[in-house]
Amino acid sequence: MKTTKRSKPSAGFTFTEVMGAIAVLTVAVLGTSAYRYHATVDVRKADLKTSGARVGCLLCETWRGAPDPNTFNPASHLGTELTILTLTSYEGPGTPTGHNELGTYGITVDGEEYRATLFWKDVAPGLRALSVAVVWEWDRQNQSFSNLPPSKSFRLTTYVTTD
Amino acid sequence: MNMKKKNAKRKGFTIVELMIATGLSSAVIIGIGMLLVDSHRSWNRMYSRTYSGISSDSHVARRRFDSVVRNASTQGILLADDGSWVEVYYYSDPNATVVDRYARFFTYSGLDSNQLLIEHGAVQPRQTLTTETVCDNVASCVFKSAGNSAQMVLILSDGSETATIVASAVMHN
Repeated sequence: MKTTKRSKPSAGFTFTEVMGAIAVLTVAVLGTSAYRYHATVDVRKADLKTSGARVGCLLCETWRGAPDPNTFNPASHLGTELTILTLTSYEGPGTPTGHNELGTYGITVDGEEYRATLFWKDVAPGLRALSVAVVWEWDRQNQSFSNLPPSKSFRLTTYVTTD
Repeated sequence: MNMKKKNAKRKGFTIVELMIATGLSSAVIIGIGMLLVDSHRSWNRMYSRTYSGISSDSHVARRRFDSVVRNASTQGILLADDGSWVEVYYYSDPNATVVDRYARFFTYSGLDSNQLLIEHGAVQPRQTLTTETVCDNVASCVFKSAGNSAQMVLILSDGSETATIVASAVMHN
C-alpha cells in the first residue's frame, strides 16, 4: 500500500505577507514622519513671523515715542541689549515709492537675523506715517529682500503728529 | 553524475546575493532610521518650545508690560541707571485730575528662579498697594526709555529653552 505523505501546513508568514506588512508599515511611518516634519516647519515659520512682528512692533513703538523721529537710530538706542547692525538700503526690505527712508538695520534675536527698513511719509499736514518693514533670513530661499511675499515679511505703520 | 545535476538545481540565494541584499537593506534602514530620529528630535524640540513655561511667561510679560505702559501718563518715567527697573505713573480713576498711582517693574531673585514683578502703589504719600509676579524664569531684564516710550528686553531661560522677549510701548495718557 502506497501512502502519500502530506506536507504539514507551515507555520508563520509567507514572504509575500511579510513584504506586504513591511510596505504598509513603511507607508504609515513615512506618513507620520511627513506630517510631523511639516508641523515642525510650520511652527518654525510661525515662530519667526511672530518674532518678526515683535521686532517690528519694538521699532515702531520706540520710533513713535522718540523725541525726534528724524534722528531715531535703533542701533544706538537698543544696540547694547540687542545685536543691531546698520545696513545699506539694498540689504533689507525696499522702501515704497513716495516714502522717505530712515535706515535699514539687521537685528539678531535668539540667533535669528531679521532685517528691518524704517521709512516715513507725511500723509497730511501735521500727520506723519511711520512704517517698519521686517523680513527674516530663514526661509528666504535666495529671494530678493525687496520682493519677499507677505508670508515672509511683516509691515507695521503708526502715525504721529508733527505739529 | 545524477547527484551533480540535483545539486545544480537547488533553490536559494548565494552568499554574495545575501551579502548584497543585507548591505542594501541596511543602508535603507539606517537612512530611514536617521530620518525618523531627526524628525522625532525636531518634533520634541518644537513641542517643548511651544508648550514650555517659557512660552506662556513671555506672552504674559509682554502683555503686562504693554498694558501698564500704554495706560501710563506722559508726565514722567523713572528709570534705573543700569536699567534694572522702570517706574511709570498713571491715574487711578478716569476722572482723576492728578497722577496718583505708580507702577514699577523690577526683577527679584526667588528661591527657584528669578522673577519679574510689578509693584503698584500710591504716589502721595508713597505707599505700596500690591505686588504681583508677572513671570518666572528670568535670566536678565533691562528697561530703556526713549521720549514717551519704554522698552523691555527680557531674556527667559528654564535651563533647556531660552527666549528673548522685546517689547516697547508708548505712554498714552
